[in-house]
Amino acid sequence: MLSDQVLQLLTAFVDGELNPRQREEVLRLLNKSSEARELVRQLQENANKLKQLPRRKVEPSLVEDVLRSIAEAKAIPAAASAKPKRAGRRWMPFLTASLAASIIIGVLGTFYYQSMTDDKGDVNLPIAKGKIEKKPEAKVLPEKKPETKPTLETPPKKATPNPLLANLIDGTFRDFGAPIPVDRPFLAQFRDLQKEGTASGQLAYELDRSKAVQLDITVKNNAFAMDRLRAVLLERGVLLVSDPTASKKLRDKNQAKVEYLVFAENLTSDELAKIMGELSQTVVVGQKSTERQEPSPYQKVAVSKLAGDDRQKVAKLLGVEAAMLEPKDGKLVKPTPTPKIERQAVLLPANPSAGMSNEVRQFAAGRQLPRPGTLQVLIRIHQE
Amino acid sequence: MKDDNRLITECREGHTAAFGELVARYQDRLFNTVLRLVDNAEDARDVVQEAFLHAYQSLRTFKGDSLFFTWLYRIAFNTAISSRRKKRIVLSINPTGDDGKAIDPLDPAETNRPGHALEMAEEEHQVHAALAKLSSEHRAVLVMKDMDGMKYEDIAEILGVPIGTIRSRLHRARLEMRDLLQKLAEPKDQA
Repeated sequence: MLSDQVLQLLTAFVDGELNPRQREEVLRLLNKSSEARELVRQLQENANKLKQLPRRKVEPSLVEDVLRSIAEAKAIPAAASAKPKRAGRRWMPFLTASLAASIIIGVLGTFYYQSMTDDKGDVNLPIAKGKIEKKPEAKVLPEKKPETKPTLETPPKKATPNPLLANLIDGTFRDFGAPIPVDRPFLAQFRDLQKEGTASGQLAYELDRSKAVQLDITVKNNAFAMDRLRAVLLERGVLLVSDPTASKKLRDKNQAKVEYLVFAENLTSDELAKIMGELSQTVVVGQKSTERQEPSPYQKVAVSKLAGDDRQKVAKLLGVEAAMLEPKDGKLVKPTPTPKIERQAVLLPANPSAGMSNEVRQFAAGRQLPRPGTLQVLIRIHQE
Repeated sequence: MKDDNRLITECREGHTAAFGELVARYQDRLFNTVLRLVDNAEDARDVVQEAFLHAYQSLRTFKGDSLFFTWLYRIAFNTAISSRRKKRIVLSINPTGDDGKAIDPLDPAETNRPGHALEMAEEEHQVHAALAKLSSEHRAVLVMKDMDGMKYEDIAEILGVPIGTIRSRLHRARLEMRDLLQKLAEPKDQA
């Protein structure tokens, strides 16, 4: 169960109103808590729904109407000089002004009262208080937060809930950072994915945001990288089917700069994040006598949403309609508990020179329909 | 294209046409926001028109401390609130949001994809219905943040409340909106 302070942070995260340090802390929390991830996903989805509400235009345009009403009201920007010229009722402007003043005072009073009562509610929360410590409200804090442990030495207002919260709410809320860019690809170095931390947490979060993603991966050696990917996928119960042309090119040292595509689906974002983590690890190669450790050939990864053009390209390579590759909406499904080989991925040449191979044809024919809540991923692998 | 400050200067010098340019520049943006606050296109149009008139009359008081649009927005927001008070509008929302006569989508090409229009209409209906159930305070902050992409501090300035209040209002509004949208989606899932 997430506390109200954490919920507020997650909301501010969705709003893009956290500074970089708070954002990192939230990403760490997202990495640990599936509940937080799910909440952020829902809030972002709903915010997007609002953003995507159709925009309308005023028709007919208001320009003429406004200019006409300005002319009719003889409105002049210098309002003071625009006194209405009326023969009688000289008391009317004064009465109107008095009434208006009373109303304004009343309305302002109401707003002031409301905002003050709002503020009271807000400042009870540390997140809303920022650096301003207000003694009267501090009385309420310990009652609301049983986890705070006031001691004899420590006055209640200085009680720290827990280190994570303290990091998150220690008075930097007034220093808001820039909004989080929505469509910019997320970039990470594989060496940063070796340990669980900010980079891996953010990767998991980025993968969780879409139903279809593209991973643009730079490697040191295509053939070695593909062997690793094949092995890691197999451990997760995904068989990598290879187009013979692609396999041939992989073995050809003169074709080092060729780009390869790997298309997989029905992976969960968690699985994919773990696959990336495993690809970042050092590898033991060779037989008993020649056994040695090799650093991961994987260098960096850029995560972005799978664009329509790329989906069409994959569809063309697989010989299916692009609509057949549309991911499915729905709630998350649990990852396959045992690594039975029941899923397939396919290795494709980015620029095929020959027609479609039997392997690819069989993959396309044996494709399972995308399961709701899983990801489609197009991995572009190229040697640096 | 002349910037806002240049146009405002010209307005103050008595060139009403310059104000026409400002109206043309901001009418759609303002209309879309107000539409979500007052719930129907006709009222939204009236509010926006009135707001522009108020803005023109008060142009001398605009000191340029904030963006012109933020200032205009504050006037429109206050006009919308007073309009609702005058009419004592109970927040009942027409599912389509308007009568469809006065307004058109800005980008008709976007609706060309088969099934897109139906999906969008359904989604808009749900979002609109959920918005309608929010208090006007919560609705306003959500519209300003999500539809207009405003920062907390701009919203705080427009509503004349502290940033902390905006933060907590948005927080509560988002959670409430989530619950409402979930409830609205439930019958569809079960069907």
